[in-house]
Amino acid sequence: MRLTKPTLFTNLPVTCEGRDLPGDLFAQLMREDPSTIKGAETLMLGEMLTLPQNFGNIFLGETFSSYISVHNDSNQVVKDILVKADLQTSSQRLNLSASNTAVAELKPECCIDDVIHHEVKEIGTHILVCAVSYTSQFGEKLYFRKFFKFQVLKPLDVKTKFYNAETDEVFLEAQIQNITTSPMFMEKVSLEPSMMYNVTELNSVTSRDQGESTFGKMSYLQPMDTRQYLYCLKPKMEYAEKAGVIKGVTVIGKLDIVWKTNLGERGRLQTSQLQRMAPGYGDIRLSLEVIPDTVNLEEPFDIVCKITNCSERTMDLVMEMCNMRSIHWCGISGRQLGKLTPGASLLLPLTVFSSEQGLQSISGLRLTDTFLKRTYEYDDVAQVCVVCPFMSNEC
Amino acid sequence: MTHNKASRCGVPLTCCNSSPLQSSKNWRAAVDLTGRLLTAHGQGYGKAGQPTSHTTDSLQLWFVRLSLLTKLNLFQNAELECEPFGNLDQPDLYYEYYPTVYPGRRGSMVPFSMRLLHAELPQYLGKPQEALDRLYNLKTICLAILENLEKGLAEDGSMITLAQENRQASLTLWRSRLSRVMYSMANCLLLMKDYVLAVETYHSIIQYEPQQRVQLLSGIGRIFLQIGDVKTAERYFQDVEKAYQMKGSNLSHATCVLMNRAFVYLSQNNYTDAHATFLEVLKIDPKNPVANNNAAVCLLYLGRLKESLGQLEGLVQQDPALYLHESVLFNLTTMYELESSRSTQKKQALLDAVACREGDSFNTQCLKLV
Repeated sequence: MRLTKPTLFTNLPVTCEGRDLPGDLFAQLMREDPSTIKGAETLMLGEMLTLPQNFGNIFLGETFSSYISVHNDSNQVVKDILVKADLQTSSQRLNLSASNTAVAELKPECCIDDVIHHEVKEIGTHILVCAVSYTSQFGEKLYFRKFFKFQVLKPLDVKTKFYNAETDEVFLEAQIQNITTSPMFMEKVSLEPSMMYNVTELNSVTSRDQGESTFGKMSYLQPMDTRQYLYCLKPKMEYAEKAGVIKGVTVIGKLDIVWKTNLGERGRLQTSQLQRMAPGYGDIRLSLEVIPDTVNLEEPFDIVCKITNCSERTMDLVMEMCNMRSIHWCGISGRQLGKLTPGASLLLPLTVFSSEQGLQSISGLRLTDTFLKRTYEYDDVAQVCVVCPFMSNEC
Repeated sequence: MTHNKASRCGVPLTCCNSSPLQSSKNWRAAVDLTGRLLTAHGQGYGKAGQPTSHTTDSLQLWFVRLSLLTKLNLFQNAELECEPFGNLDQPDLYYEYYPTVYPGRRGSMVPFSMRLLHAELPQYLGKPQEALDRLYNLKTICLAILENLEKGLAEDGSMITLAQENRQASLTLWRSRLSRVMYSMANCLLLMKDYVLAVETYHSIIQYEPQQRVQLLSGIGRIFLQIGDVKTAERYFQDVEKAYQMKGSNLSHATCVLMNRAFVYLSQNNYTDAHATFLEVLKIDPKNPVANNNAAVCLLYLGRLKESLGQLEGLVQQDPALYLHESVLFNLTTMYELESSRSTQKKQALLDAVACREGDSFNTQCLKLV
């Protein structure tokens, strides 16, 4: 018999008032009922435990627990009983029974009991094979097997999306959907990063000392509901240098999900290594190292650009700044930046201001490689929010 | 008991109340009796659609009939019989409709318990939202009446001054009605698996029924255990323990604290400590049926089937009045089926035991004989 956790017995309260015809009868019946809560008989959820009535569903990551009982139905004593329990899946056969020694004898009406546990790691058909071998009273060696078949289903649907920030950070959005038939409490959803990255999880808000989940009171996931979890990945220092020249597929890390259902029934899953396609940067990559979020209207602010040579040849660069409609650069345009070897990068501080309010896009940077006489244009490299610092209506 | 008496107003049907039919749980027979009494009133089988003459007694009979049908889980029958009453606010259900029978009386003749039953019924027929709507309506009425009473007016808002004792009695009555409605709402939300709202509703009952704080907090803890949120459940159980430590020793409170602890052990797969904790409850309260049942259940999870069966069978034999209960019998028959493929004999024996004692309302499905 499969040992899922027991369930709590629920009552159906039927009450009346003293002045009604049945008088105290209904109240008395509820008080005498052993499964009601004494003092609060109208509370539906009692404390009586009821054993599982059917096999139910089992999902990948959960633990399959089962009671195995061999009962002597006959009126003879049997000897040398050996009970073996195996779990057969499509790919392997596992031994589950704790003991491998035979029981000396089993009297009539007695039984041999065992409780087995197994964390289910595969989806699909599983067969519990129980094999019993014994010797009868007359010395006959007998053997029989019983098969119990069950399906393991998929509990969660996980989708991931990557967002590349203007800095070297990568944001991972994981969408997790509960595709079982009962509510799930998500105990832990964490991202284990690969060697290259450090991860910050963005799913709790710390106010004073307490950390509260971004999901607030909805601590559980109803069937078919989806939740999004957000993580921020930063490349580690030693890899950050090379981050500009990372091309192709990189391994980000894997998600570790632990959940609980009725009375603490636990499940755990890990995704495979999540991969991300690094965006192509062309020959030269221009990224922003330092840029403020919000600036004042018509007030110059400082930014720091990082120019990385992503090509295979040395470059000799000249930086030109062009004023756009709302973006105005301060400083000297047409400066020589010097030679840049392949893979190397340099930091360039610049000053700029905006003449329009709102979300403005930094544009107008031009880099020219004097060796090949090729110009690279950089527009919309970052956004900044421009606000009016004055409170009066004249602004 | 004669049906002549029943048709006269003002004479309570004590005959029906003291009938042995109800107290021995022969509810089917009791339902039939209500049918006959209602027919004597000029209502009953085949009389729907004819001009009615309700009295407070006939409505009480209807209420008893409907509540017994509910107890028998015959929800569709109950709904069908409720239909002619509409939303219980038709003119012929008010005293003013019968000025010769009830001179000078005002208001609804429908018992509050009947309104509550009528509101709860849809949830058992797969229409929980309708039940919630009706219950919210009842709650609004209770709150409005309480507001009127607290302002010094009569229940319906009129400027009739009530005597002090009458006002106090009315306040107590309507407060208890309000918390009863809120219990129904919370139970309905729980049935709908809307755990967040159910927990909030149970929580808000505490201010109206402070003496039930321990039971309510423990119940909320159990809801969180059902969801799988063991940490939050533990927080609620800690609140219960704190209140227990402050108030001093109280038997039922101590039992509650131990039960909660046992459930937490269960949720942590620690069946050994759960079993031990249920045994501790039995040290304080040896006849506690829940602890006895739950201890036996833990034994099964520890691989001790024979012991578990022995315990439960012993309990049923010693105290059949208490232990021939649906939940215990479910457990017993489940274990019989696990033990041997020849379980039918033992289940039959249980059926015999039940037949001797229980009335015609016993739900024999729990014996799993089919």
